[in-house]
Amino acid sequence: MNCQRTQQEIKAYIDGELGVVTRFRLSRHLARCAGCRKEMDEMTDLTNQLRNVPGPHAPRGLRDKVMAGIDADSTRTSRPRRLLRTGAAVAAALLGTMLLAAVMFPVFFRAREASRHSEALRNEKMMGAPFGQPAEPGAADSAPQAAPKRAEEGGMGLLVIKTADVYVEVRSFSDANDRAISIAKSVGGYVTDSSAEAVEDTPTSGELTIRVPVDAFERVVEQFGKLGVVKSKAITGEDVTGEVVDLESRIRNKRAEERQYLDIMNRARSITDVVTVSNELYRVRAEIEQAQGRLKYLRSASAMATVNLTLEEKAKMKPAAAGSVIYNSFTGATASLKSTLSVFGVIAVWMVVYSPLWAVPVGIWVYGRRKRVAADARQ
Amino acid sequence: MVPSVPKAMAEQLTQRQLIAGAQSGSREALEKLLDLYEDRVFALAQRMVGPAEAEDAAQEALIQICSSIGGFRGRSDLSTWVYRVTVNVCLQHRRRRNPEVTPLEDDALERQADPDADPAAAIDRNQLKSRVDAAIDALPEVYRDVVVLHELMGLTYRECAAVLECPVGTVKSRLSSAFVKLRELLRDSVSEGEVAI
Repeated sequence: MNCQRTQQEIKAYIDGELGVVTRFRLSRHLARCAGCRKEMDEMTDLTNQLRNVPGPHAPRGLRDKVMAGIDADSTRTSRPRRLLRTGAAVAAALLGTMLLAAVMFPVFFRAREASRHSEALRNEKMMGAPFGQPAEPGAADSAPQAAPKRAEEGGMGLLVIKTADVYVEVRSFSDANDRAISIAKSVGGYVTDSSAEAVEDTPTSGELTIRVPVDAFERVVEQFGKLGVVKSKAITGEDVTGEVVDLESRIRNKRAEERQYLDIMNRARSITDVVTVSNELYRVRAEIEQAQGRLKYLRSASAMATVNLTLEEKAKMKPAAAGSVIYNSFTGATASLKSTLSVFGVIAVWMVVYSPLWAVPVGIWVYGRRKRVAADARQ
Repeated sequence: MVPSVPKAMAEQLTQRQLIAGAQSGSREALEKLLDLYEDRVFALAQRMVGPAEAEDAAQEALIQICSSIGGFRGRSDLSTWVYRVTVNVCLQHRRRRNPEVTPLEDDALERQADPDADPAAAIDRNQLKSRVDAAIDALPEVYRDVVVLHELMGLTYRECAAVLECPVGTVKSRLSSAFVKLRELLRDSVSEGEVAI
């Protein structure tokens, strides 16, 4: 993990809101980076200061105003009058449904049989298609949306946002990185974020954030695990079915409210009415847009799962076993011999290069000495 | 301060009983619920819409909370629901005040937030509050909301996301940016103070 990424994550680290893998990577970076440690100390200090800011007390008259503003009956879940009205409406709806069912049942039964038949045919086609290949043109494009759609149509209707944090130790970072990308592509996934780090004396490592169709999620996580040795793995799932159902019904209700306001707007006579109603319309539409945005996000997040993959090259092992005295002495002596020989080599080269300077005096000296020795012998 | 586990469980149990009481129309249960949340709702409103409108916004939010408690189905924590209602009411107040401001990207909202104001000077001007307190108010709205919910109201990232109706990742990045901004504001106010002296 680099300094820039660390500083983005440091606040979540202090708040204990990081996943197990990111927390581990960040703490490892902090252990060797003084700058980021200083940043963390400052952020921790600021967090503590903020949490000690005293909150104000509500003004004295507020409680009375609130209690006066509440309709005594409005807090109840069930209200007798409404219950009566709702009961009558439900009874009428039941009667209507029964009548409709009696008329529509034979039609529905035939349609269901036809649908089962075509579903069986489609399944046969899918089973015949090779792995990773779409069974029919365009099937690959619609794959991410297909899973939640089926879930909603089926009885279970579960929508889960799945996330995996996987940390794998690999032999070669670049090979594992390429393989991880090709695994993601083979299931219709894609890489949203990637970073690599190469520091002197430390192994090359990198992080990939990958989105894959939810159907292929578990298979992909398993394949990522085979890239090397899995050091840690955490899978989380957030069930958002309830929230999606809530949002859908909220949007339906707000649409009905919007229609009512439009109807009132058409009948408005004074400017005050028009302004009041347009304010309400503005509010309702803003709420609808907000709910639709959230719904869209939840659907796309549950259709595509996220895998945060960390790949780290295994540190090169030293050949000598620590503590082996004989081996250490042997390698020490060998290294010493090598350096001694290299010193002699260097001296030899210098001697050759400087030979014009020393060869002539030495030659004269040797010649003179021989002459003196010969003269002594003659005497 | 984080309450101990048995105390937290006891509080939750009491809250459930209070909700059930309020839903069956008990005025006493409603009063107790107000005891729990009145100050917090007011504090949140004060941060979101400012002291001038805080009482009105808090009153509107509390009336809405009490009136619609019958529809609370317990799918989320009561506090998350209470804050969500309050935040929605406060956002409506802001829209009424600045109808031209529409939700855009974070950067755009930051640029739109009071372009003439000098936040560091505002911190120094406000002698009644502590510097940190004033720095929170000087933050752009988009950052202030998440700081208030997480640091002052004690919500988790996931709860903040539910209240603000945005992804958890957005909460995380906004908080991180908010803290960088807060630190800048506090440094600026200190250095300007030193120059003035």
